[in-house]
Amino acid sequence: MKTYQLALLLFGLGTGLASAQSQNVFLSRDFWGKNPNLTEVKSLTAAGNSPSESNAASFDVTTMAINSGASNDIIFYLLEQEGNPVDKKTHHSRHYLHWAAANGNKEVVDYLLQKGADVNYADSYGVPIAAYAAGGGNTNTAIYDALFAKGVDPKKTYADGATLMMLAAPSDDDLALVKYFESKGLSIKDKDAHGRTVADYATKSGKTDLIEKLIQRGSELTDNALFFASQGFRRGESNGLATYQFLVETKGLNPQAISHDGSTVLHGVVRGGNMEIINYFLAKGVSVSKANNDGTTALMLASAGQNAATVEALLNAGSEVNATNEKGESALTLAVSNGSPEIVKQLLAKGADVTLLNKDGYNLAYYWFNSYRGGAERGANREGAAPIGSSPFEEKLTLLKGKGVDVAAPQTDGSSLFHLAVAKENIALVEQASKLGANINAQDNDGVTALHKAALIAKDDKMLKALVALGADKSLKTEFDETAYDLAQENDFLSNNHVSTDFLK
Amino acid sequence: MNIVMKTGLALALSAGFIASAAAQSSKYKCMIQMNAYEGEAAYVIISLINPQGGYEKTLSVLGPDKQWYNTLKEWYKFQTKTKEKLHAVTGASVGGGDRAIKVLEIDNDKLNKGYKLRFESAVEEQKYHTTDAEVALTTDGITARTNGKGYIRFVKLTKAQ
Repeated sequence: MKTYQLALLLFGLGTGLASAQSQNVFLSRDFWGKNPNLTEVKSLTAAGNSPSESNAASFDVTTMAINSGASNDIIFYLLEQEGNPVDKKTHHSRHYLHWAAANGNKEVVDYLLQKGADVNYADSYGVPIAAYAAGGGNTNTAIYDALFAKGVDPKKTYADGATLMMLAAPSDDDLALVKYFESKGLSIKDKDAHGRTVADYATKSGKTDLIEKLIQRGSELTDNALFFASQGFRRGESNGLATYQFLVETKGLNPQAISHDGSTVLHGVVRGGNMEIINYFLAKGVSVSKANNDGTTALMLASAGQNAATVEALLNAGSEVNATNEKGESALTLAVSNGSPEIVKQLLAKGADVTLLNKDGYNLAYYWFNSYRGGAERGANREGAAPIGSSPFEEKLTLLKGKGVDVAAPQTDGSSLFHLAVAKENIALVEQASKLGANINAQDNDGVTALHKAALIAKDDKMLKALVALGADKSLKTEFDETAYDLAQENDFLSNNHVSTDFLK
Repeated sequence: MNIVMKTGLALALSAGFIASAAAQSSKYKCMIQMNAYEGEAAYVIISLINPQGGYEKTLSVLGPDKQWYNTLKEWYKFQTKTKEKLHAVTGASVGGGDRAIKVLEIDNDKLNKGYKLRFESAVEEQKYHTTDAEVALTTDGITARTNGKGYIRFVKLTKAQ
């Protein structure tokens, strides 16, 4: 189900992910917000703005036009430009048909189908067109008609055995889609692979009148509804306490229910950070330390966020601080990796183990170093986050050092911070590693040094030269008897870019 | 004589002879060298393929995030059916130009019986290769350098000490 939640979230974000640094006016969200006409688009194309470019998140110009509701003559014009074939992979490998169908744009859907678009094609979450349209809130039945006419089976089931009726349920305010899909052979009494019902799926929306209507029509409401409620539906519309009170007090659902993946309701609600809801379920006796099937606890999920109050509530309720998931990560690991310094501090105060190794033998310094975000650190402008002049990255370092963690020590496999810096292709991190006193010539179990790693993956000579300047030994060999020079000779990025590597000899 | 026997035993032990005879399997170091391709890090699955061409066992998963496993379409069908536990053999994905070295444990009785190792690969928003590289589990084939057809430049197995 996570898949659909993410798909929906990303769909909701849509054009919002436009890359700000792009020079192409068509990749600016503001441009489409101004509702341009075809003449403007044509003249801007002539002025050198590419009609087929994509931003860093692979949203291309046509996708942005479709998602922003640009007029169809613009969309048709864009679809005729070179570089915009109907099977172009855009954000999360989606085709234009995904976007047009989810937007209920029948004219564009027809155009794409006429051009041979594949109705069974699935995006990188495994979601094909019809399911994406239903989950994305399309209520235009003409879209489904068009897809069924092209051979999509209306009774096909999708992720977790969901039917189209279930996927569309949160948007089906007047049950028009229930009636429509019933006429195609689906039933309101259908259940998915985990026994979840149409009414359960509808609970994502938090619309109590819709849920009641579905129950009246014959759909059962099960405890699974609580988990759907915590997923939410549209961006920025997470369900409030009233939704959960309705489900538990009015409909009699069990607040201590466990989902098919072993989660409690707390797993679902901690990320939202709504203390009213979290305290409500804690008061209802939900098991605070319950790990799901991956070994993940609610505390781990909360610790990967920025909400210190949530972490505090879970710790005060007795959550096991040193529990680990199947990757061997604790709440502290996740806090060091993604959480705020405040949360790291809270967990350390509760006795979180700083010597923990994950299942591959990596320690907390590995997670800390990998959390580096350069100038654009997460949480930097949030309440309770780092004061000016100090970054979360530096604050976490101080906290770890205060507990005796030697961040420069080699990992179990022999690698050092330099290996991580090179893997992230980040010269600022190489300088950090040097400042922290890591061994630049450390060799991992395979004899690979940071310089070897750079020779394998570098696209230019900057990283290699930085390492050599900091004292990297050019003569060291991998276990396959290769020097950095040997590896650089085989690196096609370098040869294609005509980069000389003689300085590695 | 005694010394000779002791030496012989020590040699056998150091060669892993006793360990592998008991477990009926051998460990191989497997190097996957990637091509210089542009884009996200590749997810690569190493599977044991039976003589009928079907999946028998997942030996290694290079790619940590389950939500992308569906992109390795053929293997994913096998995985959703068998629900093999993967976390013990799961590690990081591998990017353009980079290499990964994995230790694979292969049953000795799979050798010279028509079994293969399949290397299957996918990159976000790019092409999926059901069989990027394939290594025949024969006495000679298993350690031969095998070129890939997709994101993989070559794979090479060596018997682990």
